[in-house]
Amino acid sequence: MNRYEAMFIFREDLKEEGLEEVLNKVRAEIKKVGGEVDSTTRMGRRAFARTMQKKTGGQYVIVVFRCAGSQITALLAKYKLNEDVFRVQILRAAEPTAAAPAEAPEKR
Amino acid sequence: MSDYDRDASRGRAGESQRGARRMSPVLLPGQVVDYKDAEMLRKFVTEQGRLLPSRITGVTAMQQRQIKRAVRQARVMGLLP
Repeated sequence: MNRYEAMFIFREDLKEEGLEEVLNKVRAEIKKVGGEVDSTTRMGRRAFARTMQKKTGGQYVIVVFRCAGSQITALLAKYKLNEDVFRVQILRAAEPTAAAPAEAPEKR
Repeated sequence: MSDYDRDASRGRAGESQRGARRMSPVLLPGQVVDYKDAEMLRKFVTEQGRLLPSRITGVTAMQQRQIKRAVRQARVMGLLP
């Protein structure tokens, strides 16, 4: 099992309850492929640095999870079908060290 | 306008090195480059969002590769232009 960090952009017009619902679905997908969620961090609403697909902003959430590497493609395919997920990027996250478990560098 | 922009308007790359002043170091040795830190990454791109060469930013070759990767990851997520 590898440690991954996924950054999600959800639709900007999602309400608080709606976002929680979608996040539950997102975490459920990870568990469905045999992974486990370490943490979920909301970064809140942000404006994009440039317009992307005629959208100007979105809600950013970071989910750190553990999962087998072979399941990442399946996860990405699932998230692509979800219309509330505007964009997602999954990157390898380094194992947390005992001293500083918070932020970890990303690797492709 | 950054130093790089001024230099670029003077002529094609390689013609003149004058005006391409080095920035004071902004990355500490061994500092981790995180794609989520868009504010930090903006120091390494022009206003148009193009990567600055390391001869101007003064970072090491290894850091430049980390910055390159981080900037590209940040662009995908709309954190950088």
